[in-house]
Amino acid sequence: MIIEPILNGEKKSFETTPEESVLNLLRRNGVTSVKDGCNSEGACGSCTILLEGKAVNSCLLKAPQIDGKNILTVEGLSEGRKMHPIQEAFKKAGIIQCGYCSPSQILMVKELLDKKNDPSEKDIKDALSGSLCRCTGYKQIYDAVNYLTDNKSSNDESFRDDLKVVGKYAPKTDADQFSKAEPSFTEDIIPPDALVIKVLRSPHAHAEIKNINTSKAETLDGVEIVLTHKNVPDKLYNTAGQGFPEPSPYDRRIIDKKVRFVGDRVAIIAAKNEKPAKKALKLIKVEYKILDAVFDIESARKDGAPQVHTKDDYKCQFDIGGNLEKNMAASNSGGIGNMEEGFNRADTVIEREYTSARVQCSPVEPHIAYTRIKNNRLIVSSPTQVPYHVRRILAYILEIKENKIRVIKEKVGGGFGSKQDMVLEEIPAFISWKTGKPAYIRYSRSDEFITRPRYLMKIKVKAGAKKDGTLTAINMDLKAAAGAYGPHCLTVPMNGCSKSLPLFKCPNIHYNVKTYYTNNPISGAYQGYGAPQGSYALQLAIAELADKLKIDHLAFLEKNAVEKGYRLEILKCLGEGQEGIPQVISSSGIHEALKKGSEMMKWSKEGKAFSEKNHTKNTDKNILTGKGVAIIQQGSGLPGIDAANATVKMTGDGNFIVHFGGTDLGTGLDTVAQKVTAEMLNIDIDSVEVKAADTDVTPFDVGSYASSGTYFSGMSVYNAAENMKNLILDKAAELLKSDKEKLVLEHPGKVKSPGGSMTYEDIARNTQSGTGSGQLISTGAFTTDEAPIPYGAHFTQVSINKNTGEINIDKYYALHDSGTPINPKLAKGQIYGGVLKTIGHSLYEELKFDDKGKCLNSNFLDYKIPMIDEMPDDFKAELVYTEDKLGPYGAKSIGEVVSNGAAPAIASAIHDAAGIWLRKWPFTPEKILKALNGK
Amino acid sequence: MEYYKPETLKEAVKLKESSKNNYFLGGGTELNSLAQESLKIEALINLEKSCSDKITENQIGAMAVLQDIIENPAAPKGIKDAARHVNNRNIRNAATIGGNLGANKASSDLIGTLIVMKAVLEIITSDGKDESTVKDWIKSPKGLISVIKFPAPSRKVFHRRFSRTKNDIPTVKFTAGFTKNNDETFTDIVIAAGSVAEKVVTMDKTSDYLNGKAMAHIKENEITALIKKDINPIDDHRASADYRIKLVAAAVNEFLHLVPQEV
Ligand SMILES: Cc1cc2nc3c(=O)[nH]c(=O)nc-3n(C[C@@H](O)[C@H](O)[C@H](O)COP(=O)(O)OP(=O)(O)OC[C@H]3O[C@@H](n4cnc5c(N)ncnc54)[C@H](O)[C@@H]3O)c2cc1C
Ligand code: FES
Ligand code: FES
Repeated sequence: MIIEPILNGEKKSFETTPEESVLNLLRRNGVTSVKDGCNSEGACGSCTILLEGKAVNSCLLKAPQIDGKNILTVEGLSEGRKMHPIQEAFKKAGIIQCGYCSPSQILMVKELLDKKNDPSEKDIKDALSGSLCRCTGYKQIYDAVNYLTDNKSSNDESFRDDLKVVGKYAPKTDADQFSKAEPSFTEDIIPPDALVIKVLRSPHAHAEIKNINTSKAETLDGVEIVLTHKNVPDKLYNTAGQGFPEPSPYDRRIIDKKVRFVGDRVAIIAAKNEKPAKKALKLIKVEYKILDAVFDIESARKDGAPQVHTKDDYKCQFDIGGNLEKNMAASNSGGIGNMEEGFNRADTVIEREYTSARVQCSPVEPHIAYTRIKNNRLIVSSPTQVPYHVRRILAYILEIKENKIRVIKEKVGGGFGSKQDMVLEEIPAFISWKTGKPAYIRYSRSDEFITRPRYLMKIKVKAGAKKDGTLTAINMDLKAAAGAYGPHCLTVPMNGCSKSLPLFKCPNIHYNVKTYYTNNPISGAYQGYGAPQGSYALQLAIAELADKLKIDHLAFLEKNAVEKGYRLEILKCLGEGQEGIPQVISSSGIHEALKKGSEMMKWSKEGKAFSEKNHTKNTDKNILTGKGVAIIQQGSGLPGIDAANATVKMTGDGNFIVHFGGTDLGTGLDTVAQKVTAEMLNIDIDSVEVKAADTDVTPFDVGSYASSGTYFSGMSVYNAAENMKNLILDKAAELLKSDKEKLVLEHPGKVKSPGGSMTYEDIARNTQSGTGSGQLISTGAFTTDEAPIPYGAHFTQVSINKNTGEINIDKYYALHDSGTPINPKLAKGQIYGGVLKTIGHSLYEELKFDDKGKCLNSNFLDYKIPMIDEMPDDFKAELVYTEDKLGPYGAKSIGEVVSNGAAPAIASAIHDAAGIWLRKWPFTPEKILKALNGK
Repeated sequence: MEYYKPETLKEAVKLKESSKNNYFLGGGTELNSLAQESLKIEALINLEKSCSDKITENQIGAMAVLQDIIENPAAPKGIKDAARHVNNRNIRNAATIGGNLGANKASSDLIGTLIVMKAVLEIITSDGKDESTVKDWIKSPKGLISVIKFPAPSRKVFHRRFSRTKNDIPTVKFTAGFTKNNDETFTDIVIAAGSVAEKVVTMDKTSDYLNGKAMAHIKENEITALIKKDINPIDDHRASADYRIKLVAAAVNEFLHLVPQEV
């Protein structure tokens, strides 16, 4: 059938069918601003269009419903290269992070402002109520709308008067691209002739494939290839994107003849389009021998438990403490001081166990990869956080040279750690390599939900302190469930200890980490990388200890928290499977954050403030109110393990292009590179363009994880820019006939000597001419054995309905020391996003499974993540400046530390309000009520 | 799949009755979702031209979308409040009141309100026009809902919605329609509960007990016993059956204690 909508003011004629969704129709016709983030279930709003001026989900409309109707998409907003004021406001407000949801939010604001000139906060909330954004925490949307309605000039926070661009706001380098919805994501570049890949997944949690018959599927019209364990390389590998040699076991194949969780790969189909691919899945006949399965840590470690892996499918680069008969994937232990003595010295000792839940990263863009062959080379496009690791692992599996593979990191529609693994790139890569044809795979939302959830951990904390609150000993006994395979099985749980224990000045510390295989989905990296679980356990244990000692929690933290200059001896045993490096704290904003936060919260210092005096008066007798606090830290990359490189090239007119391998996931890393270069070379930021990350073009970088971006990638750019500065000065000294020492860089882009000056353009024209010495190109590398530690303190106030257990977050103040914030507004965006995500984890997010291991809530209708209405009533992010010498212009990381505070702060506030300790995620109303009733 | 956009209700009904796999299409927020892929739809019958979307104090056309109901000053307050509980603007901009009834979900935010407001549905079948209470219709749905009538548009309604997030469908939806008397008693009480059974249900034993009873004579334990007789919820990943009962009891409690302050 033909339909004729008016699309962006132009009458169109589209051939379609009544089955086709408007989302599909638009994307098929080049409108890439509309995205499918929820399997077309209407739950994410990424597919928003304005239909006759109203924001609606295009996935929920069939094509004929728009016949003759007016449709507006973001493509119709900007005029040529000129952006619409709403797009400009989004850019200015710093609300665009990964950009995947931005076009939909822009349209929602358009509907709002078309109807109301002066919308209230409630109106804004309502207008955006259909938008699911995993990155931003929504807060800065209000700023964007305020810019448009109040015409408020942006009152941007600024740090470091001695610097021109660092510490000040600049929009993200790709803000225009995202707000205009230029094709940016992997799914936007897939040609129609690419093979579509579908995976047949196991219905059983643990089984051997006795027989698999694919003959009918293979002969189905349109099917290109069917893969099973019989025709894929019999090669064990590890999907974790970690520096080689990885501290994760090589324990999986592309497809194995044994399945280890519901959803494990059984067969893979590549076909000309979706229809035969889906049909072929149904034609594969599989005979399974069902095996007993283990779904929790306790069952996995029992004697005689079903063994998930054997020595034939478990190879390690070095000993990571596995014991397969006990289903132990990895283990480690260590400590400092004398524990017995430490506990003997304590007046009070507590021992408590805390349990986290499996929560999902849920980037709105699911995992996707598109591969093709060009000139006998394999080209891979995907939103990976680790292009170089992907190239290395692919070369290993396919047994080809790394230089035959090019991995291009396309724009990442949210990663949060889930894209630190090579989750699926090997599938299309193998198919393209085998067939010579372009191919792609895009996970459905239900696939996504069983892909790399956060490690479930059970953490026993024993802590002792003297009457005056001095900590004498802490023991952390951490058990983790890896699921069916073990990417990050040592390092994520280790991080649970290494990013929580070093917060306290305690002479006697011990930890014991054990990770078990179970027949659940494979766990993985997720923002915070084990630290949120460890932080929850340790911080809450400290709150419990303070309560038992009748010491104000805040005072207890102030007494025991580390400060600048303290030597972190414990780090010598908390390495990534290798010996760690003790470190002296280069700067710390913990105490400043605690001070500022307590003022903001009006935290009472008198007497037993913790459980009585802090209560705000509440007239509703059913409502209990309480306050909580937690201190947090993370790292800035992995000293001794991570490495980054960058190149700066001068263009013919004296401007610059930076090439680096760091991967911006929407976090603003490209903007960090841009600003660091501009600052160093005394130029405006638009004189610097950034190109990242493409293994053919940009130099090696481990990728973005472990909070390494700003520090490692940023320092490599800093070093490259400094080298460029030297090249410029050398050349200028020669041309100006002056001593190099007498030269200074002047803004914008000039070199001044006592006797004259010249522009960078003059230098470029000279060096790049036929008589010149060659284009100025500098490189910079960065490795180190120390890293600045970002700190923070989170404060919250909650209200609990004592009849229903319902909980409201009245206030949430997140105070962060990220040294010199390179881009304050973007740093705050990271804070809002990370905090809201972890409020979701703390209160309601949890993957649920039936007793056969099948996930029961693998969609956004059943697994709820925070939307704009879930924002705390009063939500503030504050940056606490500290002077630090290690990072680029004193910057520290910010991306992960933000996720460590919500669970312990909320749990301690719940205790303050209601006198109950919630030692298990998530703190649902039902659990709260049960605990209240059991008091 | 076929697609029709009939001009008249009669035509729409005729098309519908020609196959059990033909479906009326309102906004499509339910029907067009990929979650409904198992439905084997043969034809969609778009009601846009045939069915009214007009909103007045006494009746609302089935094709009226929820956001228009909220924005229309004439619409009865009870139903506006219920529509607001669908906390997703994009859905409310497309979803129709007829579709909400047609979907007939236990988690519906509107059905309970329509029941307690004593709304009457105008039903079109090939036999002609008929009327039905909402309660009867949801028990055995048939025909096309053309209009929802409100014989008592200003009837007082108390809503209490429990959900994990505001955007989630309710874990429990409690709605009570009532008359508040000068002597602090409630009469003419009708209570409906959503997400506690396969469809929205009325809680007749509880409402009979509360009807006309002076506050001093209302006993919490008696109410809980009656609630357990009225509803028999299940455990699911949103909540346990036991918790759902507790929520309903809490809602009754709020109804009894908060409403006197508000009315
Ligand atoms: C993300 C999301 C969130 C949601 N949240 C909520 C919520 O919070 N609360 C809530 O109540 N609902 C919610 N819903 C469900 C929502 O879709 C509605 O219930 C909506 O009102 C359905 O209306 P529609 O016009 O889109 O129906 P359609 O999808 O067009 O139709 C639904 C059903 O009704 C039938 N039908 C349509 N019109 C008529 C008619 N006039 N007569 C007889 N049968 C008819 C159709 O054949 C179909 O079977 C949500 C849905 C989604 C996707
Ligand atoms: S794809 Fe349409 S709402 Fe998610
Ligand atoms: S910016 Fe909203 S999903 Fe990433």
